Amino acid sequence: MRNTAGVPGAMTGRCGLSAAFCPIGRTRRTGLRGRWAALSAALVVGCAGSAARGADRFEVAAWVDHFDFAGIARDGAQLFDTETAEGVAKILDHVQEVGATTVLWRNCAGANMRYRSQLESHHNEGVIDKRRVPDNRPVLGWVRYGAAEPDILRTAMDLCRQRGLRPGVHWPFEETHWQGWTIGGWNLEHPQFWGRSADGQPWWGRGSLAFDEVLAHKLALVDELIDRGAEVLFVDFFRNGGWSPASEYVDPVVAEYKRQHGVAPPLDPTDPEWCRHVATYVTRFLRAVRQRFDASGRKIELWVGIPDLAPSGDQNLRVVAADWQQWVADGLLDALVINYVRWDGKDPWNSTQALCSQVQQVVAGRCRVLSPVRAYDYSGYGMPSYQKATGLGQDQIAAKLMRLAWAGGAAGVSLECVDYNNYQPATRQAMKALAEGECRWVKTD
Amino acid sequence: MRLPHFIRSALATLAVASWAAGAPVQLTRGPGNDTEAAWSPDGTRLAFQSDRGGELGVYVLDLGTGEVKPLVVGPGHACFPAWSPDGKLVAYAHARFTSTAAQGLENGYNLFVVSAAGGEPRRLTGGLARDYAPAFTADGKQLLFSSTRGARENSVGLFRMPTAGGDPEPVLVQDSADVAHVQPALSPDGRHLAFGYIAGFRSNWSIRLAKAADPADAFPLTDPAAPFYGPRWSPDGALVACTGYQPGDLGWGVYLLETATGRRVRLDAGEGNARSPAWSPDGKELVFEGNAGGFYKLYRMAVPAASFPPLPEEEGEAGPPVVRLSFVDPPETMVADLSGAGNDGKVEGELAWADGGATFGTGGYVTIPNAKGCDFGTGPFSVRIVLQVAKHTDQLRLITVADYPDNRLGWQVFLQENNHVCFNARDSLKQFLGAFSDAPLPVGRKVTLVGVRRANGRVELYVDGRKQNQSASGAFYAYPVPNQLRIGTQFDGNAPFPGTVYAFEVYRRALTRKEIGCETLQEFLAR
Repeated sequence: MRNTAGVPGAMTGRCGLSAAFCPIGRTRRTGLRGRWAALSAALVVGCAGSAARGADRFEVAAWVDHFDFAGIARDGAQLFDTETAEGVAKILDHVQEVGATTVLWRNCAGANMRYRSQLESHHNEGVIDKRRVPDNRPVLGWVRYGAAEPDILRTAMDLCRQRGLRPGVHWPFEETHWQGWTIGGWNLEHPQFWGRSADGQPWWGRGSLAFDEVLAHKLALVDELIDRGAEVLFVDFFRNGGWSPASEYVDPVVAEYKRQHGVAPPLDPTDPEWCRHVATYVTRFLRAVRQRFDASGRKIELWVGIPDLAPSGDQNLRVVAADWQQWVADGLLDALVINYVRWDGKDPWNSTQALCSQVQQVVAGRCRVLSPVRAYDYSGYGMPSYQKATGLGQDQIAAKLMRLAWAGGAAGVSLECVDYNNYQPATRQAMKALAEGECRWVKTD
Repeated sequence: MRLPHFIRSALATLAVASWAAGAPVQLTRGPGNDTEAAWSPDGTRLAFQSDRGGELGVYVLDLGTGEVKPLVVGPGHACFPAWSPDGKLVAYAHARFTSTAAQGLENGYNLFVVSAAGGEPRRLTGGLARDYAPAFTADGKQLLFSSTRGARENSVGLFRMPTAGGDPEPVLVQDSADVAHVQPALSPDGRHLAFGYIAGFRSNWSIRLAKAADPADAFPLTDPAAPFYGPRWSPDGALVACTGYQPGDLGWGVYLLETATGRRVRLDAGEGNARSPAWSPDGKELVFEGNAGGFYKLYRMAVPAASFPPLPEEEGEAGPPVVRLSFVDPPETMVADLSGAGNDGKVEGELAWADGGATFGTGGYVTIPNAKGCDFGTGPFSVRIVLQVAKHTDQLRLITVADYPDNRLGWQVFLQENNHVCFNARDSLKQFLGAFSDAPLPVGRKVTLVGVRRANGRVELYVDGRKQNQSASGAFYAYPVPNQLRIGTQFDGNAPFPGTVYAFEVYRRALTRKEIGCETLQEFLAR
């Protein structure tokens, strides 16, 4: 199994990215269906505010990292109770200090639902399972999201709407998330759908989307998110849990490759033709999600985030089977989120702007493009690296990146992740001032 | 809806009458999942966990009448029942829950024992850790169990404690991320301990056998190439039953492993998943949970005369190394290459020579410029190093690096900050693919490390002949002629290795198990 996409010097942090990296050289539409339809339509218009100025509101998309405001203690007590409506409201207070227009709540990940899912449970509330490595953190260990009132994700969505914010879900592409690699219950129960390496070894990290059963399960989870009022589904390909075309040597994918090419697939999982083939299954998934949204009768947007987004070449295809140019061309996406670009440390600002502009040129207006203002430094291209390269403070970096994005014609910025004080008070203040001031509307000239 | 007693009795009678026919016979019915069954020592009852009441509780099925009685029910989870050898007690794990995180914590999963006849449970452990999957020792005086207690990483270790109460003590703990040892089971002769083991997210569960007297001395009964967990010894110790899956299976199944050989066979347990087998006291039957009807229910089946498939013979090539450095004597100018390929090593900086080895650590290193024969292309290769370190540190230490023109970190063997060893190669995008040791490198003695990139792209690491669980696949980088092979530091002089190297060999092929020095299962069991 591929254990790459590493980050020099970075191990598992609060964001919970894979820690199994080498320490050296690691590269490491408005409708009437649903209870919120009418209200959300009005608020989305208010939020996007496109009509008044002939331009769209410049998006400030704040990711809330799987509610992990939990565990922030002050004076011996929890500062945020993430399982109550009051606690979620306090989280939102914090997030709004950054000038957010859209809030993307991570419900942990694809298979560990931090809400009353009928399909999956959160790994800490289910029956302890011999096949899991239990999460040994005490604080979140005993919460029962599946039994608790309120349904916490529905509550978060409602609160956003009440405050004029667009609610969405940050959905890592991987099967699961957080330390312990808490594989979802459905996946654990279906080893026959697990990924498989070229030498035949099964891998429990992800069920292959090539199986109709896996696809149906994912879509049923999407339905739960739609039901809870999500207006954006943001699929994050950075958090892929180590998945890559290397783990797609499952029977249906191999058989289809042979049918199309007349030969067995190459053992090298980074072979461009193989990766292009694997990517068709990812595309099939996104197309099915898009169809689900369209069938809902509501305007629900599909965003995808790509790490190390390369305006040209097949790098994104060969690492995470992300055929984003095809997705854009097919009209599957409402927004393409640049998770990060590989900017040049010798010329951080110009290189950042050039790369982001190149992405926008490729997209050519077929969907919106959001540029990164990234608190995290995984892969070494977030704000901490800008700070190292320029000596500026976080508030100055954030403001600079936001202005660059706006000036370059981006539809907005994406903030990974607005967890407690990831964006420092001065940074939040600076970003909010821009979001409500000079960067309020997308630049149109 | 609860069935009338006479119907339940009739169903039970039917079950008892027909099981001998060989096909699995369903023992429990109704809503809810009945799982983790354990057979009472006298063979008349099964203890199992069930969520039939909403919360998970422990129940007892009378195999004679088919009647199910609650043993431990109420708020929280009661699970993983285990019978004491005299049949008088049932040990189990129990957890209670709060409504929200901020309300605070009640308990972890803690161990309790209760009279098999029912009554007030007695608490054995407390605290926030997860203590689960208990098993009694043969004399009933101790409980072995899995636990996260004391773990700083996300890990599960094996512990034991007196049944009468007392402090748990570690049996086998490896506190590394996502490493777990689960469901300990002592062999009938008490010599070996079987348990499920996983070395991290990228590996699969495997069954390990350990010396009961020294549980760190363990042998993989199954390879992580496919997942197997939940071992249970047959009463005669000849077999281990477990849950497993192999590519081609339709789901989880009950497997029998032959302990003398490691050979395995999947039992026909009907449709659906079949899991968690447990032996009858006479070894003639297994009880397991199956979900053919949707919910998991308990089934029993006769153990067939297993026909094990032959073990595959290892394919291996022959051929001398392309590098074989001798560190026996201090070199005058170059460290001699005994392979015949002419890859003598050049010493740079200070090295100490003693007892047939070269001690690094002061920045000195050995380099083989443009090492001949190390242009492996996408083919297999192996590196074998005999070394010794005096102590652990929290520093990164480069034992060796193969430095290539377009990839200066082509392949490496190094000690991580946590003192685990890594052998890594690269994929065709030059991305890191590593195999990691299961435990920190032993100190104070010679250790043999073998790293192998196989022709199918898999990267493996062996420590003293033991294949380590965490491997990687897809390593198809095409290695050209290297700039150098370096021993003792990173290619740029960083990350010096403070240890002694006694032997260093490189091969253009995958070494065989025999060449690697792998102990056989038979050898392990015999000693």
